[in-house]
Amino acid sequence: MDRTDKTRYETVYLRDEISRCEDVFELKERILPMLKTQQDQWKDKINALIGESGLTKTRLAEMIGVSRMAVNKWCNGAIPKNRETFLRIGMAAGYNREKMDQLLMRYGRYPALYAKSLEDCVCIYVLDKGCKTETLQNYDFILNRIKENIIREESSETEDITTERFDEKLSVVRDEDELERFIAENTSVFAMTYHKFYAYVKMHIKANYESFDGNVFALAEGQEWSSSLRQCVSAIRQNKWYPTRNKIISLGLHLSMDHEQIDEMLELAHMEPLCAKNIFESIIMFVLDDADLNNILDEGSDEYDPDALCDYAREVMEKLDLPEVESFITELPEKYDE
Amino acid sequence: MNDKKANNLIVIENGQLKVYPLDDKVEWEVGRSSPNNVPDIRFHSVTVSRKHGKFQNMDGMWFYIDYNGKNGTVYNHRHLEKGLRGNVKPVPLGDGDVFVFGGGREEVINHKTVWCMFCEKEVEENWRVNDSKGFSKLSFVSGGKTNVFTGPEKGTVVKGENGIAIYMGDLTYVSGDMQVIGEN
Repeated sequence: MDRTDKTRYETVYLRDEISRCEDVFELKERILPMLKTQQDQWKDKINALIGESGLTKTRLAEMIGVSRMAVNKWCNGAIPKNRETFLRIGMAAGYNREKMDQLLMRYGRYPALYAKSLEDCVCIYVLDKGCKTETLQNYDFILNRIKENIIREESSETEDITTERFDEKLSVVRDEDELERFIAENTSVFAMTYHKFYAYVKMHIKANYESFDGNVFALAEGQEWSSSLRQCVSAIRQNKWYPTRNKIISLGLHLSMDHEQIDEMLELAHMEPLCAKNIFESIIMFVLDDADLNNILDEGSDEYDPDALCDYAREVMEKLDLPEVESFITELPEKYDE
Repeated sequence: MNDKKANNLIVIENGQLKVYPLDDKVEWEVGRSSPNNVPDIRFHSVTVSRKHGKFQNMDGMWFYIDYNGKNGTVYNHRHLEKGLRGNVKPVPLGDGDVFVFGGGREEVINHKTVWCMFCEKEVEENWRVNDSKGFSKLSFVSGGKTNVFTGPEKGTVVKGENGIAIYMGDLTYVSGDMQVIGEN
């Protein structure tokens, strides 16, 4: 069994164990100890990366554009706050595309590089050119030049091109001038990156929230969603949100979506489905499976409680009392006793 | 079939093939017609509900929304279920997605059920019907290439460079540059 098969086997095994889990205490006592926390994994990774790259913490901080204190925090397990930082860390370490994808997905829980996104397109170009120590510098230079020269226009006509074909076309771009032309010719493709994701969310809302006239913003306001999630919803309405993994999961819970639907949203945002190897996500999987099997949301009830799934997720997370879910709990609405 | 972008629904019911140009409207109700109910996509089979579901466009993307009646819908070999708390689960559609309406939880393709395929490319309205009854082996020839199937399953779709064939057992529906040759 090679490493990929082993990883897949372990993930499927964990997925099955979670679905068989009887209650939240079994989840905590039997399943979660099998998983290494994201913080631990990241701590090992960033320390190994610094050692292998030969960079000092100070030099790495300078290249990425953060303080040395921030790098120190990473080395103690703090996870960088956004995907752009992960990209910059990978480029500073001289990673190739495969290692960059692994860094983004496994350690950041972000989508892999996606050629139809402007920043990723430039990143793929510089990684493929194999500039090693110059990679990050070239990335900044080219991206700034392109942003200055290209006026983003709303294009009505979008070329229907698969991501694989788009990747192929990008791989034969020879130099920066050609890259700039390539990007200018494909502005409409970049604008469509998350179009399917936005449409899916809007369609779900239209189909299920008639009482709010399909207006998720009214729903978000009425149910007192967190301000950060209300901002996401507002941005989705304007087709402007850059989706992050935990926010997609949070949105799914707030919209009472099941496991399959949350996986669908992740896929449309070019991300992997919920992963049983991640502590936080294994808890979400348990919540969704249990809510489905045990009719936690009480389909037969006349009273509609749009927060029922969030309330149940909060209840489970509070019982588990784990540091991995603390920040997420604050995203969920408070349950008021009547 | 050519590469021009157009969203269509190919429907085969009781030996009849019909193409619905989805882009003509934003919403298409699907169901069995009755004096009080005239859906946009009308089926006749009694195994299909009067209000069975609908195809709906959202920002240029097509979805199917099932009303989860007792008669069932199978989408790409999977029975469509309700979501949590009975929520509707819109299905985002892609080229070549297949539905079987009215077969309960199983993907039963016969004269009592309705077979549909969503296409993102322009589809010709003129289809030829080939008799494929009794053949154990079928060769599909298009653009100089041949695909051979031994004992194909009903609902097998063969796409060529400029043609398409849909095998439905006794009959095979063909459009564009595609030839079907049967052997015993």
